[in-house]
Amino acid sequence: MAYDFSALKVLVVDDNAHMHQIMRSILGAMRIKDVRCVADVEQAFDELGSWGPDIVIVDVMIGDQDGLDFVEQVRGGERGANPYIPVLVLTGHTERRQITRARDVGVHEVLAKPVSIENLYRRLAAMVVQPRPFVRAKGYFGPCRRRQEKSFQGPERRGSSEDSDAAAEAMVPAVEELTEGLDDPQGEAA
Amino acid sequence: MKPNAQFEVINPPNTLAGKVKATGGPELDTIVREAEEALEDLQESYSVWVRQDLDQLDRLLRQALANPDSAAQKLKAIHQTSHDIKGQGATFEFPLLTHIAASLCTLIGDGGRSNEVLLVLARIHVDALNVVLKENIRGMGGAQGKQMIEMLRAAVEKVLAE
Repeated sequence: MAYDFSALKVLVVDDNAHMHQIMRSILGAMRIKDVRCVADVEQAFDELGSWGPDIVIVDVMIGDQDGLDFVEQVRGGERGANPYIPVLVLTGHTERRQITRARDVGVHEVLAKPVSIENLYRRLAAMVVQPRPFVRAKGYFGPCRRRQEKSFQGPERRGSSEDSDAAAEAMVPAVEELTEGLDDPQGEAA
Repeated sequence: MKPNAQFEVINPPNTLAGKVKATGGPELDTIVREAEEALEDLQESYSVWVRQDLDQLDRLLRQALANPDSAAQKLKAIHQTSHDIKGQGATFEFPLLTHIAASLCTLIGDGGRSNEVLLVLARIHVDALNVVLKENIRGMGGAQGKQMIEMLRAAVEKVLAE
């Protein structure tokens, strides 16, 4: 598929100005020209409220600020943020505990830095083409932590027992799903 | 797993579907080629960024070695900078920088530990980063590059085990 992403608005939240340039270059090649890059959480909330991006790409650490705390606040609808907005975490912090926490605060996708152009494209495509239902449960609100399954599709199934089955399954720890395709620098060396 | 009524499944409206057409965009190989060309244009800028980052690492490490009382704070800053190098090196054809910086990040961890041996090993990492940049070593640096990474990994493992 040659997806046309040109109408997407993407917000990049990363304290490193060089990453802004890198992301603009890569997203530009995907024909995504409407890109705004901010260096802190305050600016990110401003953009979420006033500009309304379609997708957020955020680092785990934004200077001294915690990018995953930010995601948690977004999922909570704080400061008028759209709690359903697709969030992709792009980070060098690929320790397992960070990935697990990213999953638990409700990110859609996790990609490791250095960014892989192919993987970023595939993740963006997945968020658009295979949107996941959201799950609200005790201690969790965010996209279903399993990949899209047919049982989730269509509004007529909403609230059915099959959904409950799927939702329960969704709570099964699935770190491997999130980390699938992570670019481990050590792996690249091989 | 049994159904659980405490879970609520929500299908939010897919606002992206209306904005993204399945056709009409560039093919992935075109995207990769154009992105790489665009990144190539940033290559010169990257040489300046990473030089600044390495100078900062040098400065911070000198301060940490000169004043052990402030070492923990300096190590936190070193971790942040090396993290940036790790995240960008391979994008600009310097995967060896990414690997060495990743090793340095592992060594420092959350910054909770600091001792002379750790600081000396951090110094070795920073020296290695400087060599890669000075010698303009693109790619993994062949057998020597791999050997260096392996030696750093073993040294970090040993220091962290102590």
